[in-house]
Amino acid sequence: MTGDILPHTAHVLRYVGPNSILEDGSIEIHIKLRTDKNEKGWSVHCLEYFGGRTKADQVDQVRQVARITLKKTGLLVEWEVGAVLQHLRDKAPQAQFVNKPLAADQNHRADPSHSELEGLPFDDEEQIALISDMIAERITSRYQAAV
Amino acid sequence: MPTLAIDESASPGGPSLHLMFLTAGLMTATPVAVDFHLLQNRERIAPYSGRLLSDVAAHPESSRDQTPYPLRSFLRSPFAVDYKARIEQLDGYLKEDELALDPNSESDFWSLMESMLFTRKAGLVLLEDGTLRAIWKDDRGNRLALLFHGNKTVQYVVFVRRSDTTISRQAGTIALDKTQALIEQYGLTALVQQV
Repeated sequence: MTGDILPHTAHVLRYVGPNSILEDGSIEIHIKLRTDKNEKGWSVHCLEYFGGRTKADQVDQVRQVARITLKKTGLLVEWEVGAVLQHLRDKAPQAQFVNKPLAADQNHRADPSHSELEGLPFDDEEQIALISDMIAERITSRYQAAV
Repeated sequence: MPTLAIDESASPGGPSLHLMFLTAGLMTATPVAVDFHLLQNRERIAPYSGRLLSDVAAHPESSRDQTPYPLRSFLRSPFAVDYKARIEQLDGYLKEDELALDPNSESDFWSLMESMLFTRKAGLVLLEDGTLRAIWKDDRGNRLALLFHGNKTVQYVVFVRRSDTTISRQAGTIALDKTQALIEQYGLTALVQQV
């Protein structure tokens, strides 16, 4: 539901393109710099908004609602909300994941899972780079983006 | 006018490749620090030899400034061929999305490779704005990431393990030519150079 803060036990997923996957398979995260507080946060999908029986079912539903092209060479990567926020508590104490569901339109299905990481520093490129690298440290799982 | 040629000659261990400088008929074999597999694997060097020769021919005195793949980098970095291939791969990914590598960012990357000796290989990624990022890391959590803005500055992120339970994390932006000082300041030399 719009505005709900995701609990620490929730799990979020985001697509990572092949240009952000290192040769050894490790993943780099690059959060886009916000230059205004009112700009939208960093988009993710919260798996708990899908009712699949298994994690694989939930991940597949993310593939179905994604509004960007998921490349076969890309990955869907997963975090546990609480682990990320705990890791960022010194650098971004205001950070939180907030549910922002997307309504269906002519080209897309509704996406109840869409959420955003809010409360990150804005207009501070260096801190965002640092936070991005810290978020990459807390990736727990990865899935093939397109099957 | 000096030109560069890549010559092939036989040696007791089998065919090998040598770089030679040809100057007005005077041939001088010049020992260079080319990666070992370059000398051994003709398939790998072949795609680059034409580019190398054409670069030098086109820019005999200023190839360093004119080309993002300068000869000096080729000779200086033991990973130059791997880096070149990786950058082409990353550029290909971006082109699928109608984006492109920033040549100034790539040029700054090669400038750094020329200016100091990195004997540990960096991982490379390409951001959507076309800028290159090089990452050195180890399994203790130490990390150096350099984003090449393309204006002779680099944005750095460093993770330095201070103890079993503490990692210091810092970020900033410095002039490209201050990178070596940065690495020494944070005690990360072992991350980029074999000791």
